[in-house]
Amino acid sequence: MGEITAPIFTRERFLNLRGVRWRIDLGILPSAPGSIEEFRRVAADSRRRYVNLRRQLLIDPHLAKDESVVPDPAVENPLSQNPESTWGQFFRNAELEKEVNQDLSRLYPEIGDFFHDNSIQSMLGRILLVWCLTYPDFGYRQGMHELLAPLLYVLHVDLEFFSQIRNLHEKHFLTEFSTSPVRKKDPFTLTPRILDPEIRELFLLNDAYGAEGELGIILSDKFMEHDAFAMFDTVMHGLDGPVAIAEFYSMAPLADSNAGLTPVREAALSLYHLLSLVDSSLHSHLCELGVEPQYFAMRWLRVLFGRELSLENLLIIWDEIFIYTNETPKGYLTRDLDHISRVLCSSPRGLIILSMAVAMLLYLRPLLLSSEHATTCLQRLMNYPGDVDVKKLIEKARSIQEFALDVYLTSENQLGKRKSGTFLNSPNFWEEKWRVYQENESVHEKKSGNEPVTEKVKKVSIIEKLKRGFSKEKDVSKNNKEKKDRWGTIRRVILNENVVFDSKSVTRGDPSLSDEVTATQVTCNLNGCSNLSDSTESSSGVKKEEEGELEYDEDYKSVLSGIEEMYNQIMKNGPGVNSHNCPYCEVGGNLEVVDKELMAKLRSLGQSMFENIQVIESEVEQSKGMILENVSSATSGGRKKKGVVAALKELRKISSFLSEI
Amino acid sequence: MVLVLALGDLHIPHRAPDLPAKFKSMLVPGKIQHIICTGNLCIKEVHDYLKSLCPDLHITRGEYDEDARYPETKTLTIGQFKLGLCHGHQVVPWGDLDSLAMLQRQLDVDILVTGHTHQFKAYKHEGGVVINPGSATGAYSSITYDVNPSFVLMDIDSLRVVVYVYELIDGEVKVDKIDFKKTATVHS
Repeated sequence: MGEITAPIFTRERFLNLRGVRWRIDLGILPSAPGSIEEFRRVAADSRRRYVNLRRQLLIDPHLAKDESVVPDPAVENPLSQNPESTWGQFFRNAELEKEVNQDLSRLYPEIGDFFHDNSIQSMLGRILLVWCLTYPDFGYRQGMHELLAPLLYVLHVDLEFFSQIRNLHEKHFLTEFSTSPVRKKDPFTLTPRILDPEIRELFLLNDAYGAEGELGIILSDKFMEHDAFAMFDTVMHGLDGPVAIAEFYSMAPLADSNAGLTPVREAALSLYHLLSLVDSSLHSHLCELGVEPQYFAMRWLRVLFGRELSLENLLIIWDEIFIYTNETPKGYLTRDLDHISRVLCSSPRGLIILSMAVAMLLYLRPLLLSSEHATTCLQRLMNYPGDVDVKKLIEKARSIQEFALDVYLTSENQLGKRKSGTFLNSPNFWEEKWRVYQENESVHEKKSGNEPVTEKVKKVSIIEKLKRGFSKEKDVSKNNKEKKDRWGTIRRVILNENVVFDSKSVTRGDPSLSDEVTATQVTCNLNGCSNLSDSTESSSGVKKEEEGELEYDEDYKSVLSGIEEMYNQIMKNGPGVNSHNCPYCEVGGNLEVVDKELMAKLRSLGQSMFENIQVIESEVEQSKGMILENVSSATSGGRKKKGVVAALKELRKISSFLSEI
Repeated sequence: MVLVLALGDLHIPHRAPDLPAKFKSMLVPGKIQHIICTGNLCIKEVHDYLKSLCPDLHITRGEYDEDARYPETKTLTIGQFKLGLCHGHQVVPWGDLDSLAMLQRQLDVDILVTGHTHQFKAYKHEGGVVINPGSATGAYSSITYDVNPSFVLMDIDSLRVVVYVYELIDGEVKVDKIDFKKTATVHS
């Protein structure tokens, strides 16, 4: 073997070693070093920095600072109230330490073997103390320990991994003459025996005799504290980039904040701003309930989601967050928008954090929309479900981030132009699908021949369809049924009320259209379109039957046109998405649900519907007798009766669903 | 790194109303781990006040103490040091070093703390230390009227003890520091 050529590192080399990867991402270790020596040197420098800080700040009043200067007992006594006295500093440190230790004792109890080990706890305590004393403006706030813990953990995991590899290759470290393995033998002579270049490199990085000696070992257990401090410092201070988590802990308003709010509140507002662009109905729902963003965002942002997810998931999320650099891309400025926090919106890392938060909100969307009170919403937000699929969350966050990059950052040339903030600029996926489907159906219907136009036959056919609808509903799963009912209710409600569409001109009264509308389900699980018309037609027919007042054709048609309009309106916004498993929908991303006003209207309609049902029921009771007398032939009358009763039952069910919305 | 406060001969309320204000402002709870008091408090209120400064309180009986349950002498171990406590009126002649040394040998302690003379003294004697914290209130004694309020704070750190003496002279708190190191004697 000749010389060992200098490897070219990129972070890809260290896919197994999260600690090293994060250190490269955060900028502690060089991302494109020329050689192993340089790599090690940078590591050694950062460690030296920590040692100096520690020596300076963790004061032991017993050790004389300077032998030549005799400390004045009047100042340097333990009870001294002189602020300069080292004893005073010592007692202040002791108080801080007490606070820190109290928090640390409660850290990650589920992974107690690691985090509650005494040496680890004291390490964490020292790191936090040194950091807080280095930045006295921030002091120690609860939450910093949660931010620090995973950083230490990944370093520990790396070390374990490395020791495993070392054990595997133990035989290379044995010499012929020694009985015990000689671990510190010069790897330059040994490495020829290790064939895998990556493993060889790993050993070179951790060689005790390489550049900077022991201080340069990349994966060193002696310097875990130092490395963790460096990582913590970078995360908190962002290395001169805009995102500094430390800002979220400060109580003082940012200098350039418009409303004089603290940074964390500004960030929370920008979170809501992004949410409003991505999913305005959820945003307005939350605003209406009075769920202020900082209630939950403060915890999310201060600990970078540490309290919401399990440690494994958290590590994956942080992988994603740290990939993005913290610097504002060159030639880009933040747009001057209201309620935008410079902190989070100026750099890709900030944006991914924001997008991750929005993605998490969207994941909880159905739960949030269904809560009526702010407390339930907050409860759900604060107790984030543990079984969340992190990969999906990350993908969603990525797509939101790309969008956000467009919205918040602009190149200097384009200053002044403002992009519209709709999330999906392409035409709605579902609109396309519905259009295509309609075309197909119309073709199909024309072939099979239209339904007869006469009144009575129509009524019969409607009832047939109703029955078919019911049987179909029984087959479908319960989830779908609920959804269907919900959508069916919208139709029925509108029909019952006849409020919204009382005097619409008949635009399209051809039976072909009506049949389209009554056509069968869409194949996709999403039941926005399915069975709507089925039930609507049937119910309309039934209703007319029961009340027997309105002329069939006219109202039918007007109602139909109303339905059409309603439908189009809804389709534009997109049918509601309730965690269904359709593969199409993930592409489509977020489709907005029916407007908030509509929901409120529906609720009130549900109420009135229930009253109507009661009225109708009583009427039916009365008219039952009448029908039996009037109609001689049993079949159609019987069918009608059955239809009426069944429809009533259905309506009852639906009204209960509606009232639950 | 243990802080031990040694004081005594307060004679509250008979000879003095209270501790000097400057002393009181310095003595805040939370800093001190032990308090040893030579005696002559004299009343329960003073006991309670000292208890509020630190829960670990040791007192020996002085001749004017109203609580008769305090012991005559007391020994305790803090860190590597053995401390002995006695009021001192039992040791005659009062304040005599040799007699106090006898008491120290009798109690077998490294640091002996006694009072009664109302004068601060600190001797290094035969591998041990004899400390008299004086009177914390500056109360007059049987011997003299001219008494400066004083007390002693010991910082015990493994084999080394640093004695800080706080005296109120002309209305100003003066602090002095004395270092004692224990020779690591091996006991069979």
